[in-house]
Amino acid sequence: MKAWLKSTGAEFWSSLVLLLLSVAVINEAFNLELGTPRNPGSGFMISGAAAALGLFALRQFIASLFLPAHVKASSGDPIHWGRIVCVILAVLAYILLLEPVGFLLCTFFLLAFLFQVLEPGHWVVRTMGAAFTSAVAYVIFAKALRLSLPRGLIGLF
Amino acid sequence: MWTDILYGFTVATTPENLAYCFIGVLLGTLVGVLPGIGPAGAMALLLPVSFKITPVGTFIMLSGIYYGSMYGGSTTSILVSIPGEPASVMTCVDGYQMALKGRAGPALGIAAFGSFIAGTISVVGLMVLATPLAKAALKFGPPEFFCLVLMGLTLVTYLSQKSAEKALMSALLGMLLSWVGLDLINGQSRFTFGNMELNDGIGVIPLVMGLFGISEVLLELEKDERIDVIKTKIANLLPSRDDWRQSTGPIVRGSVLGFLLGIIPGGGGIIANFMAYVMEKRISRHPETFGTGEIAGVAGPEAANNAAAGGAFIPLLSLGIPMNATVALLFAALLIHGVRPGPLLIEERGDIFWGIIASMYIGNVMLLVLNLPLIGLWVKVLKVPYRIVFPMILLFCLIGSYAINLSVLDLELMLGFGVLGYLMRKFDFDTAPLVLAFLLGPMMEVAMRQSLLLSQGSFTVFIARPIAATCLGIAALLLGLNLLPVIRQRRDRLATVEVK
Repeated sequence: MKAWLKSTGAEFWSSLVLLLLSVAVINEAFNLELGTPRNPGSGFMISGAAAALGLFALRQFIASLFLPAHVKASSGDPIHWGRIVCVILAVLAYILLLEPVGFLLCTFFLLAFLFQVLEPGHWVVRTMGAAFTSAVAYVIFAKALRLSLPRGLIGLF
Repeated sequence: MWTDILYGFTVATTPENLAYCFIGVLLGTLVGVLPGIGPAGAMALLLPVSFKITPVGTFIMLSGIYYGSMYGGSTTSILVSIPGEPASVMTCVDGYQMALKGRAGPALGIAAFGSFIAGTISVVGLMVLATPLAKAALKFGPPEFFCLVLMGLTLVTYLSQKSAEKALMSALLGMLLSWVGLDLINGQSRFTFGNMELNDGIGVIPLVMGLFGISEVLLELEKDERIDVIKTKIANLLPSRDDWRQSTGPIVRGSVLGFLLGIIPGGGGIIANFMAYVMEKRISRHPETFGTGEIAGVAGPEAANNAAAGGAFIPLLSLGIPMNATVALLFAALLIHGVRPGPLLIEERGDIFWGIIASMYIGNVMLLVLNLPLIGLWVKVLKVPYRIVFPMILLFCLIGSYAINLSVLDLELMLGFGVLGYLMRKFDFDTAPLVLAFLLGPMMEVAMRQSLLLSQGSFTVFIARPIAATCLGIAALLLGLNLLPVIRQRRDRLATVEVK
């Protein structure tokens, strides 16, 4: 299984995802009103576009099964997957906690974390930087531009 | 026309609009200098802020970012050999060589002056061509619009830097995303999954912020690159007489070529920059000098990318059809303000149209003034560590997306599109066709369904009308060229250009 996963490439997975997506969309489009050419319904263009996407994806999927192994292998510089996953999770946590916890606290914690992602160290300076930046962002966006940002726990707003 | 342009200057020279123009070109230059965020990303970040300002001011500012970034991109190309913008890729080739020979000053100077001249030429072209084209477009009906949009999208995919087939899939995905929400014709909910917030569809701001802002950050985080700015004295920014003698022809040729390429769908600065370099090398009496610090290799491409920026406004303002992803954001900005770009824009909102043209003249002068004396400042900006830049970008994206509707769903969509954009780039899918198709999808669907209603279900309506038939024919030809394996393989091989 591991060997098979390793041997499949980007083309295989991307085309498979798009193929499944197009099938799902076509299925949903049939639940909408397709209509007729004389009176096209809500699903008319959607089914057409999804069918076209599905055909292209199917062609790529089939082609990917016959790609030589060396083409499928990835090459190039090492990728810091850990950083990318951490940033995505941090932003997701920010989004989920923004309204209950509040803009100021969430922004502070997010920035304090992000300042450490690329080059960890200098905790005190960077934490103070995060606090300062959060405060400036609050002044600019909430006060000067009058955006309604969530109050949350602190209730400073 | 002269009274119109004078009217435009009265609009553009109000203190407020002058300030927006200045902010736009300054931000554009900054964005052009900084690798890792492009004009599309910067414009996406500023879209929510534009709610607070007038449509004219918004468009002036965002336009300034667009053509300003073309100026800024040359600075990093010349000093670091990293293009600040994709539209400055070819400038790296000879620009950096000039810098290595101690001629960074003349390289930067001729890039700035060439950009100024080209920008001015393209604004004149825009002024001359936009009005007649808009008048012709008033004769377009739904079949013409449908076929024109289809042709535009097909051409964008044909000219894609990556796989044309993947670009087509990207465009189709963009169309499907654009149809989420209520059907514009019969009000039926589509793909909302019971979520009332999705009845209005997916917002353009979360989509573009995710695809351009978040995904760009994720891509940059992969690497450990450090930017090493060349340590050379930057002097003699004013080109010498000999520099001008060698550069005048390339600047004029680059301006005309860039302007024409800017008009066509999918064209724009990147192709213009590349084609101008190839053209200059081909017609040069000493092509072997290209790549060793030839000033024509800087002047021509830099003029071309700036002229292309001006040319790209023509289909946007006259036809209401953006022909590349960056201009699509200008289109989105106007839609947000309830202004519909298109053939009627000149008649109904002459203040926007002529104000923009006048502001582009003013903006080009500001850019010349900004770029030369402030070179030292831009060099310092290049040295700001990315660990400080990327959190700011993310924060801007988050605040910007939330501020539109105060909706957490918008933030979730933005993050989702960010991950999607990142994966698309990793899997070699071009994101520009997705954005263009997303913006044009609703118009395309309405035009198609109206056409069929008018013709009582007959598809011959697209062939019977000459303009529609011509556009459809071109689209079919390009689609065929895209899909024919032999031509596709040769085109894909030609599309692989390595900058050494």
